[in-house]
Amino acid sequence: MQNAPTSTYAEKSDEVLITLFQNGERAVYRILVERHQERVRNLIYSIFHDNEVVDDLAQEIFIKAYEALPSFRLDSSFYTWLYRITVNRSRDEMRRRKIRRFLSFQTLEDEANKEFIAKMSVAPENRDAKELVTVGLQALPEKFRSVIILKDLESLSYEEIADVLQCELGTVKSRLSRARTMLRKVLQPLLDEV
Amino acid sequence: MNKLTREDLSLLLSQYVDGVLNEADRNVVEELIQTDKTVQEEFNQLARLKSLLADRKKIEPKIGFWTRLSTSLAEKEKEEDNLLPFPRRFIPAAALSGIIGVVLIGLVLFQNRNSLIQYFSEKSQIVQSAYEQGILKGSILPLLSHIDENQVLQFSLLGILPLDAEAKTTLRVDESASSGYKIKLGKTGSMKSSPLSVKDFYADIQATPVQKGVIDSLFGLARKQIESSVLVGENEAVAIDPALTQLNKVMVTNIAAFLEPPQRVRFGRYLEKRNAPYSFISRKASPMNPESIYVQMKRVPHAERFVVISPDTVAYEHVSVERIQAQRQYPRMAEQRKNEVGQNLARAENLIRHLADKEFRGVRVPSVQFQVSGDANAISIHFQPEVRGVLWEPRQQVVVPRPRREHSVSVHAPSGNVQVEYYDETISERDLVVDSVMVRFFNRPMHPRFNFDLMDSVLNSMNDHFGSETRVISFDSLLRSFEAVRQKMSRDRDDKDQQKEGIQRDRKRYPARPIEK
Repeated sequence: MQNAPTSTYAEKSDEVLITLFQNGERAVYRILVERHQERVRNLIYSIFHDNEVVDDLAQEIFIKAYEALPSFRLDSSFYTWLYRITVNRSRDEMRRRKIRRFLSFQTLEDEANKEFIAKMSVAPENRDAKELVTVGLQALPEKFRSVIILKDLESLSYEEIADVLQCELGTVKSRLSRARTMLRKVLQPLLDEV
Repeated sequence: MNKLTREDLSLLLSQYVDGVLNEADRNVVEELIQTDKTVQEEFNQLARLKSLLADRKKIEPKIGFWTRLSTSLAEKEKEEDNLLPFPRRFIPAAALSGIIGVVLIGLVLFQNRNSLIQYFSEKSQIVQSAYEQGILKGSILPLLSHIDENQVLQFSLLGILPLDAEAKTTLRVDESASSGYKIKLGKTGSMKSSPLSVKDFYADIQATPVQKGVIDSLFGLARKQIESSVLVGENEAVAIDPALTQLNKVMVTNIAAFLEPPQRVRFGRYLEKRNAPYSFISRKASPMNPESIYVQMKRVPHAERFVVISPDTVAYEHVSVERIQAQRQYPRMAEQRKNEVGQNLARAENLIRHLADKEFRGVRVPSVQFQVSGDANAISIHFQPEVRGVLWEPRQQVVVPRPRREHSVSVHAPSGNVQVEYYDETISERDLVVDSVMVRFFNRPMHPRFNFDLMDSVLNSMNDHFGSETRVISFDSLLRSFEAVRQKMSRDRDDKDQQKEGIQRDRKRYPARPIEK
């Protein structure tokens, strides 16, 4: 990989950079990566709440995006497309982990619930609200977790979420509502304190 | 309100906190929040939840993320070169298809084997031809196109052909019963003996005019053979006909075959005096018809395969001699030929230099028993004893290689090897490759008699002591054996005296006198 000519292309939009990439300027991919890597990494972290998985998965996602970018048709924005790859890859990873945990007679939800219960049993003054929210998210089923992360953590619009999750707008609305209800119940003690 | 279910209310509230409701729905929700405490509580919790989520813990930026990613991408691109042209899940199907394909192709090939064999045989010849042209690029010229009758005589009888005026660069052919034939091209040592002349040769053997005519014709054939046996290409490749190793023996045998017995004795003396590589084993056989000898020698077809040595490779390949002979038909000006000779010699010397630079220690061609090696001075081709130029093998075996003609002594000094190779005819201090350590040894005070000037005589003594075998000896053992060598030399001197007596007996039997016509 060549070093990206950052000074020349740093100000260009994603669409311009993608067009350049598709015309053979592979070096501009660096700008796209640097522009979106933190969002992707945070999205992965929000989904898994596991530092160890973040970088490896982010690497895989950007490699996958690099391979698929030549055929990207600019029907959607680059970052929603990137988020779609991230969510799909994360689902695969979760599935893989689930199987692994199933084989070790555990489930992902069990793990999350145990962690959450343990944290909630700590005295209120010692609780870290941010951490509790993050752990609470882990207790949600994946399809609800994703939608709430994309909306409340990543601030995507309903349309963008529908684009990322490849579902209807109504599905996004209802899934988001249910996700919030579930999370509200999970975090009830914390929400009562605040 | 009554129309809204719990789920509908949650849905509206969820959208309300996101600010995406239309005005009508927003009014409904706001009214409910103000009037219904449960709804108000739910809204408050949703708002708090949203606030908490937005204020989530973020992970630290990763330094070197791109560096790691770019490395992975580079490796990925490298791997792609080796990727299969289809998804991995199709590997079993592809393998099965491949096996079926191979079987089908095998069946087709088997059914058409005769025509295919013919086809590939023809193709092989084309490829072979292209390969030959590739090795000996451009015009192929004889390296030795300038030799005169005296040089032909020199090579025919002594196996040494000087290539320059000082006779520093030579073509040398040797035969040893134990180690086979050797052709050496390059700086093989300056000649000590004076050049031969045909005139003197005829005078020495007292040849009749008819014999002179036959010998001239034989020399003419020999010249053609020499010319077409050592070729040089424009790309500094040299091609050498292995049959050249036989020329010396064939010429001595053929000349001797039609000489009268007294002339053979003189011829034998002539060879002996000049330390020729071959000596007679029979001087009494009846003279053969000179014409039949000439016809027999002329009928010998040209060799097809040459040892081709280029700066990059060694091969045993077909070379079209006819093409070279056709080039010879063009009359050339003397100056032009002289220039060609100089150029060709320079090419051969360049090749020698190339091989020396590459530390060309030797290449064996398994199908043919020969080995090519090179050093800073010369190219050597060593043929195994069983490899003989069958085309040139004389019918009468009247000569044998003189024993101990070439001698090679390797002196192992403490800091390295010193190899000294020399010949009976050509030995000089220039041939002695002596490193500084060796010189120091020879000059060391505790052995003042072994200085560098004495080395030549020491090695000559070693030559007599060790015969034709190559030995690796340590310097100390050289010193220890020196006395033994001197004793051996004394015994050899006695043997030589006895040999002289035998020669004198021959002279009495066949006195030197003109042959009656």
